[in-house]
Amino acid sequence: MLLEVRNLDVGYQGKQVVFGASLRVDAGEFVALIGHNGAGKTTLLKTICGYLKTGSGDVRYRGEDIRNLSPAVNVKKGLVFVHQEKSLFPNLSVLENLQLAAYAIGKAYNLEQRLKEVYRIFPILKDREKQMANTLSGGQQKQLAVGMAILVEPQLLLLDEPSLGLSPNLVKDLGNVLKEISNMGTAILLVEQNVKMAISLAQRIYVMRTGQIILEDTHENMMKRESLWDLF
Amino acid sequence: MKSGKLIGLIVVCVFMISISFSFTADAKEFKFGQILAMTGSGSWYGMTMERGTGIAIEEINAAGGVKGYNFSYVVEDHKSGLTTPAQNAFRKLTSIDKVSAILSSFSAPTLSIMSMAEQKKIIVFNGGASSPKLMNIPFLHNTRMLGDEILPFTLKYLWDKGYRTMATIYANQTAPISLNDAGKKYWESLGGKVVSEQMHETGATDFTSEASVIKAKNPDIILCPSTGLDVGYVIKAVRKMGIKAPICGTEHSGDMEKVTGDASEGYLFASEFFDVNSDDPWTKTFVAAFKKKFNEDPDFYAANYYELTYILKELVTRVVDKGGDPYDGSLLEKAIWDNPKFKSIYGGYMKFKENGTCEKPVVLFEIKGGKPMVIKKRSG
Amino acid sequence: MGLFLQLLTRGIITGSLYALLGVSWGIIYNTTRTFHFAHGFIYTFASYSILVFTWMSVPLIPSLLLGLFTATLAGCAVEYFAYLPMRKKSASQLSIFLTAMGIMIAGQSLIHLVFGPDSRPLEGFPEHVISLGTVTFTTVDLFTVLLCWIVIVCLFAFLGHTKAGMMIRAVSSNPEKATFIGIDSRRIFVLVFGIGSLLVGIAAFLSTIDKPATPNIGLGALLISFITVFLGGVGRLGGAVLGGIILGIAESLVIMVLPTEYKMMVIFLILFLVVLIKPEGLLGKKIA
Repeated sequence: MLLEVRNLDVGYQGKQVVFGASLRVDAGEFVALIGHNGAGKTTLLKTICGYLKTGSGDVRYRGEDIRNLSPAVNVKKGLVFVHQEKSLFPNLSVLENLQLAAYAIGKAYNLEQRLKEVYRIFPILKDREKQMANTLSGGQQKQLAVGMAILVEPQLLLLDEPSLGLSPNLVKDLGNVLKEISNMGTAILLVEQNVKMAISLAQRIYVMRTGQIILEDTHENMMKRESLWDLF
Repeated sequence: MKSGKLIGLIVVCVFMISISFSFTADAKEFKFGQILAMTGSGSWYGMTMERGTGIAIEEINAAGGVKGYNFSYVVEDHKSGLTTPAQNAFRKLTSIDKVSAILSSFSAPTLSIMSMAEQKKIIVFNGGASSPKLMNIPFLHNTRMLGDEILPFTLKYLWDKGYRTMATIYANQTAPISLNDAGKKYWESLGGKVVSEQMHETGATDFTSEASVIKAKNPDIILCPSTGLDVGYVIKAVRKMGIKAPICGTEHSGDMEKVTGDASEGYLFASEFFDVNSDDPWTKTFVAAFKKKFNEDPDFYAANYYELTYILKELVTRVVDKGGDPYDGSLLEKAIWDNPKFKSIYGGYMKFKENGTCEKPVVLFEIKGGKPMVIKKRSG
Repeated sequence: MGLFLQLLTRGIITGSLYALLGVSWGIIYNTTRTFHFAHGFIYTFASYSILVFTWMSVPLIPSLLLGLFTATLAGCAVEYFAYLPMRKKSASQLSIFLTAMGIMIAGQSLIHLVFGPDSRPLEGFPEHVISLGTVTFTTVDLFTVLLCWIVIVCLFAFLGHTKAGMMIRAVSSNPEKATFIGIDSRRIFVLVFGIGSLLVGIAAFLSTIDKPATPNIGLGALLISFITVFLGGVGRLGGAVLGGIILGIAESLVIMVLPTEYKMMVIFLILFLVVLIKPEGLLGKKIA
């Protein structure tokens, strides 16, 4: 088991947001966490990566207790979080953004090769290499953010609503890319409001409502459900 | 919050310490106040003045004091010319230290305390400031010649050398402003022309733009009646611009060369003449004592405050001889006019005038080799 | 015309020094968003450090290097021992600002206590007058301009082309993301305090070869430092350079129309107008 969260309580700004959440992600697995806006999905994700303090409960990554470790430490262990917005450095060029992801964790030895890999997945980034990140379109910015994450060869990728603000075409492209990343062996925990996309991609799905995980089911079972609305 | 409490505590402590001092003070002590420039751009003045007073007090007390009174002083700081600190110092000196006499310096701080001094009948002596505004003020006596009596001496010298156009630059303070007016009027009365006047902020250090303007006007001479290091910075900037015209002023602070380096060569200023090489026996003992203690020659500021302390000694003697209380400032004031002639450290005697000024010998100095050298004298 | 050229030259000389002061404070503010009021103290400290080494008969250049080194350490120490612990306890911007002001006042008083109020010149730098047509300046001025721009160019090269420089720019443009990709922002903070203090030390040196040091030289330098940053635009170091040049030239040229005592007023008027019309500063970007 790569990631295991048990009975996690999280408070944020003096209010409890997550109540006794439990979930797990196995190595190489693609897991989605869906639910309404404000259900506590993003809070849960930010707690796992170490950005928010846990109340009670357990967070284990590769068997190690990571509750008190900062995101900066976790990223070096292969646990990478990608924000839904502001997920890049606007005043740096595309190339610099990518390089920085590697430099920051001291993983620059095979940078050239990794860059090639990222450019293969996101060819547009190669064309825009010298451009400032803030001149990219919304979709390109998302690509860059995901590109920065996969550049460091993570074991577990925590994605916070990557489809937010993208046109349906771009969402489809993004889905394909995520599938490809998953196929390469990277485990993904995807938080999404775009339920259709999440279910179509993930092998296992958790549903969250008002701070609690109310359902866990497989891709196949979820696809069979006629309507998902009763879950929300 | 915490720091507020701490400051409060410190204030209370300081207050209590000063109270306890005034209680423990011997009834047979004559204490006077000094309000000098102890910090800021003119701190050199305060230091040298206090040295003068200090030596006089040591001598007076070593000789057994005055009519049973030991002399002592309290020094306060007007931060190189600020009026609020001067007024606070005055209130502290008169209400806590209960002094009846104050030695002051700088024009604005001195002027700012005079209405209170007249009301409380505190006698004030100024041996440092030279603004003409210090004349004709009750209870104020100046033992420095005032600027408009001295400045013409300098300007006439330059006029006689054939210079005709003048640029002025002066600080936005009482004395420099009035001295600039006096200098300008005198120059024009001679038939000269003032081609540029610039007022600068006190304590400024960069005068290169001002000097650029002076350079464009190409004057024969430059007058800078500012005080303290300001003069030094002006001289430095003027020479830096490659301007060769002679610069004159009314002051030379002893640390000026630290700013100017050798740029001050040729700077002209007139002042009372304190001759450290005088044959006068009193001058000789003072110069020797000063040299022994501080390892340098006293300047005329140190001499003035040394002299003032002895004038106070004479006044206290006169008052006590008549059975009066020297802590009554009005008696000290009256005692002056019993005989306005006092022994002077400049040699011979000096005389207080009714308009609050005095008569002393005057000399024109020029900086040569980094030191003021006498180039012309006028007897007092 | 002669006067204009002369004043313009003065403005460029002063402006170069202002630009250096601006980037020295700007790199700290842009990266850490700490209103580093104690920067003025570091300036004074650098000046006196260099002086102290010369008094111990160390030659000028080694004194300069040693002085800059101690000033850099002092800057890092302020961050490490004062601001960092406060930020850890999530102290407010205001209380960090007050601490900084406290360090500034206490430090200045300490220098006053130890060295007295006297002016302390730094001697040994050759000063000669150079005249080019109607324009006059000195060897010190020339050296000041050259060194300022060399240092500024080096700084931009460092920020643009080194890993550390890239990380500084990253932290300054998106501190949260920087943490998420694994940059230790605490180390970056100490680094920029070191760089900023080194730069302000160089500015202090340049000013001390021209004018003697006194315990209160730091406040003026601090004012110029942050005015140039806010004038030029927060978040853009190039803004601080532009702000410095504009300020220097404006301060010098204003004398052609107004009496010289209005200089300081004009500086603040410029800042006020810019902030009123374009609150983000000349080169700054609108905050979304």
